[in-house]
Amino acid sequence: MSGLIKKVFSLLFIYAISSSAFGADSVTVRKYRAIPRVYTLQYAGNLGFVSGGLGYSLLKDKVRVGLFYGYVPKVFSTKAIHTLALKGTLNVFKSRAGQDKLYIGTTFNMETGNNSFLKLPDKYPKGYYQTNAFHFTVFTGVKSFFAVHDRKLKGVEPYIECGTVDTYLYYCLSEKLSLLKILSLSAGLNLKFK
Amino acid sequence: MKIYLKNAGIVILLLLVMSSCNGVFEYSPYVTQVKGGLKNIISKNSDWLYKILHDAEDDIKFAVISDTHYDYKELEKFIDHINNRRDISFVVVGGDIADKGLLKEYEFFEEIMKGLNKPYFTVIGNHDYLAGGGEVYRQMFGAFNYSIEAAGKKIVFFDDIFWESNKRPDFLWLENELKSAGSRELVVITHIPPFGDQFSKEDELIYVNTMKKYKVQLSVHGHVHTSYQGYYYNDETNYVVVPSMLKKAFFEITLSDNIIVKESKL
Repeated sequence: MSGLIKKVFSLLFIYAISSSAFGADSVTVRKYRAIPRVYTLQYAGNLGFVSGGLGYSLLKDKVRVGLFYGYVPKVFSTKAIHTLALKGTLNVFKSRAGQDKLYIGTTFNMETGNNSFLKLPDKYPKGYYQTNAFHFTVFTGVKSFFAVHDRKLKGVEPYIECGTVDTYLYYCLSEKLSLLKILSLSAGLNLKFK
Repeated sequence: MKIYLKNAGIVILLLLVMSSCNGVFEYSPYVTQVKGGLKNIISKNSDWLYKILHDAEDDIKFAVISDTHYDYKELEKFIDHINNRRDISFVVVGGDIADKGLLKEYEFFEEIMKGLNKPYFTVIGNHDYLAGGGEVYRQMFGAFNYSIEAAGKKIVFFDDIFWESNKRPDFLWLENELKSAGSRELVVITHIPPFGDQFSKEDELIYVNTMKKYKVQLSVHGHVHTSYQGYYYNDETNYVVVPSMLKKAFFEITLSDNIIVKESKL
C-alpha cells in the first residue's frame, strides 16, 4: 500500500515538473494545437484504481475527449488489470457564473492485461462467446473550475461522476436488476493548461 | 506550483479515504477480490447442513437449479418458493452462476441467495470461468471438486469444464472420491453432461464408465438449458439435465431408499 502511494505521489510530482517544462514558452505551446491541454487523474469509475488521461477541450469546452490509461494493482485484484480507454464528455448544464458544470459522458475501454480475450480462441466453436475485452461505461458528473494564476496552468477542475458498465446496464434494462444496484462513483481532477 | 502541490495533497488524501470504502467505487469489471463476508460459502453451508440434517428424521429432499446467468428476477422467485417449502433441506446450483465471469455478477447472485433460509451448494460452470471468474469462484465458494453427505448418501460436486478452464477435468480425483464412498449410494453433480459439447468421445467414455464402475445412481447436470431425465447410456445411472433458471423450472430430488427425481415449475 505505501509503495503504491509513493508511486502515485511520484507520478504527480513528475507531472507537475514536466508540465512546467513543457510550457516554458507559451507561444510555442499555442502554435502546436495538437498538444493535449487537459491532464486528468481519476480514481475508480471502472477505468482502474487510478487512471491518467490526456485530453482535448473542443467546441468552447462543451466537449472533452481524452485517452486514458488505468491500472488496478494486485492488492485490489488477484491479477493486475491494465485498461486503455477513450473518454468523452458533453456539458449539459452550467451554473450562472459558468464555474460549475453538469455533464454526461461515456468511456470505451479495452482490457489489456490478459483477463479477457480479443479474439475467440480456436478451441471454441464459432460464436460460442463474444469478445470480452471491451466495455462501455456511461456516466453523469459535476465539475467545478478553479482558476489559477499561473503562466501555463489555467485552472484545476475537481469532479465527481456516477455511472455504470454496459453489462450491468443491460441487466438493468432487461429488468433483472434495479438501477441503484449497478451505479458506482468516481472522482478525479482535471488540470487545464493554456 | 504551490497550488498544485496543495491539490495533489488533497487528491492523495481523498484516494486514501476512498480506498477504505468498498463497493461504492468500482475499479474495473475485471476485479477479482471477493469481500471478506462473501468468502468460503460452501464450507459455511456444509456446517449449516450438518446441523440441519442432524435433527432430520424423514427422507431428505433437495432442489436443483442451474444456469442462473443474469436471470436474477427468476432466481428471486425461486428463493421465495423454496423458503416456503419446509420439505426441502438444501439447494444445489448447477453452474453458470455468472454470465461473463465478473465479480459483480457473483455479488448480485450472492445478494439474492443470502435470502435463502437453507444452505446451498454450487458447482462451477463454463461461464463462471470467463475473465477472472475462476478466481472469484474459488474465493467465494471454495474448492471446485468437493462432496457432501446427506441421508447416508454421498453427493459429489465435480468440475468438468474443459475449454474455459484450460485443463482436463480431474477424473482421478473423481474416481478416488467415488471409491472412498464405500457402500454408500452416490450422486454426482457436474455442469456439463457427458453427452454435452465439451466432452470428446474418449472423455465421455471415461466419465460414463466411472459412473458405471461405482454404480452411481444419479448424475445431475446443467449447461444445455433444456430439461432431460433418463437412462441415457442404458446402464444403472439416471442422467438428469436441469433447465436454465429462465425456464422457471427446477428439479426436486428425494434421497430415500430409491432416489426420486421430479421436475417442478415455479
